[in-house]
Amino acid sequence: MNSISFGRYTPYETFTHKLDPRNKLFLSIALMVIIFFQFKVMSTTLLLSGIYLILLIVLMLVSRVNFLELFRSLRGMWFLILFVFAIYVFIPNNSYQGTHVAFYINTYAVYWMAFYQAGYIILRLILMIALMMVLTSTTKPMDLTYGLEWYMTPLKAIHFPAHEIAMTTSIALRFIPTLLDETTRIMKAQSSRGVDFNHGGLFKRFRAIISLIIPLFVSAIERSDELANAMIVRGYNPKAKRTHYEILRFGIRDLFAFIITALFISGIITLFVFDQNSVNGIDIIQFIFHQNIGF
Amino acid sequence: MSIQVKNLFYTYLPKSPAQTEALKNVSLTIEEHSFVALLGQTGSGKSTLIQNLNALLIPTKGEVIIDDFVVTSSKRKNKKIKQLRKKVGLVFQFPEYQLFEETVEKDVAFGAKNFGAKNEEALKKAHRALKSVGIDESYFKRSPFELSGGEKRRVAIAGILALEPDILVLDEPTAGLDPKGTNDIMRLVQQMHENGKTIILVTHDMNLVMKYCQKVYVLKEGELAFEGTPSALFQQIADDVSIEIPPLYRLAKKLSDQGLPICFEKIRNSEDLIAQIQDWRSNHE
Repeated sequence: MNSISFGRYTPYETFTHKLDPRNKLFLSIALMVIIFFQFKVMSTTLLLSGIYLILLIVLMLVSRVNFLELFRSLRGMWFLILFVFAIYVFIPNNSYQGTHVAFYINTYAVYWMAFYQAGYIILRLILMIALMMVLTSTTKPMDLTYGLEWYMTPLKAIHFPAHEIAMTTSIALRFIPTLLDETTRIMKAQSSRGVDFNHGGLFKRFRAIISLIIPLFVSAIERSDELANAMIVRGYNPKAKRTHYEILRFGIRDLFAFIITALFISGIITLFVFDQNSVNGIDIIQFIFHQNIGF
Repeated sequence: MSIQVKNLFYTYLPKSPAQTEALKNVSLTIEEHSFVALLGQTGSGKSTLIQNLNALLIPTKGEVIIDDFVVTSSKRKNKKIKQLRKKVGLVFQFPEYQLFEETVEKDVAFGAKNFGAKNEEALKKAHRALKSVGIDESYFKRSPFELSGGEKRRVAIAGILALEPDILVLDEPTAGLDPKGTNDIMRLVQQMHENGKTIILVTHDMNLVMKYCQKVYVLKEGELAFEGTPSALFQQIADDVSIEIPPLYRLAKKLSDQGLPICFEKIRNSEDLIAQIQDWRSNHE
């Protein structure tokens, strides 16, 4: 059950917690985009990823994000990680030709490059997960939805149902804990009837899951029916103009966070543009130490 | 088949910001074949306690001893847990939400089958359980989702009874039922008790406590605040633990204040009180 709690909102009062959700959303997306910049020179990419990772760790510390949870989520992805490595190592790739060979399996050469590429993919995945964790554990789901709604508001001009989508999303988010509670409740009730969710063969497990899923669906459908009725009774009208209990405010703190992040992002983007326009790419390590480390 | 709870502690989500100590040093003994009530306000730890009784929750500290089953924090991989769950049947609050099979009889047989009964045997047990909760044979092949609320609940209770447990733990079995439904369920529980099962009832309805229970345990903020007979509870500390004294008991108390000699221990329902008043009258005429 622990995996479900991944990235759950933690009620601390850190700098990141107090930021405007709209700001956090925008910055997270921008930071996520630059994770995908790959430079022509490998050492540059690695160096910048390393810097990114360090800054992200600092951000996680500031936001009091639980590192254990990050590791736990990685443990859950061991199969994916293995799969990525297998794909990169065992599928021949001509572009590796001429680079360092790690070892041979019979006559098949396994290149260090393959490990590098796979490792880089995993690293990017970790960065993304960590970034998402910072966002979701410092922002209430409701605030995130309001933030999203704000971004979608201009689309109302073309009859895009921004409010309806925000409302549906916020209801869905609101009911995640409820449904989780319901799940534990039903699991316990069925365990009392001798269902074992953790052991047994495939068929037995399937039966066990059925005994959980059906009651869960039944109660979710009943709940949604009741909720719809309650909303109608209170005169809910999606077209009505409404106010918010908590008004989102973009303060000094947000400006500060925005400027810092914008500097970082624009720095990376500038480097990237130069890199793409130069013939051999930018090699920062060579530039600083005047040494070619041979990547 | 007595139940012993020794210095039981239970903490939810330990070492996290949401950590809560639900049970603090609870010790109690429930005798075999007794009918006891577990009382307390919402959040007092009742549900946590009953889930510790059939190892759905494993104690953080302390132990639960039922017969030769010992559940402690150290024996996490206790292999006997499944047998324990067969001995201690736990009926959750609103058990009708756990129904899922296509037919009533299949749903009731589901538990029995999980505990190793063969198809036919399980069905036989299911039929017996269904009859004991007063579900007619014409219902056996119907979908449980077509039934009324009260019927669903009886079917769900039958689902636990089909396990043939020695100890039956019921978490508010009468919540949300009308007076007739309540009576039906309670009469059924009483019958189970007469058949030799130990009954542990969690409820907020003091009338039921007064009518059926031999002993009550009151939890307050995770600690055992009281243990004794219902009338002792109403006399002594009902206010401290926010328990509402049932009207019949209040009436008896007023009569007693007016000088009528009343034996509170003997009052379970209105007939008992009437009998005492009549006794008194015949002695005075």
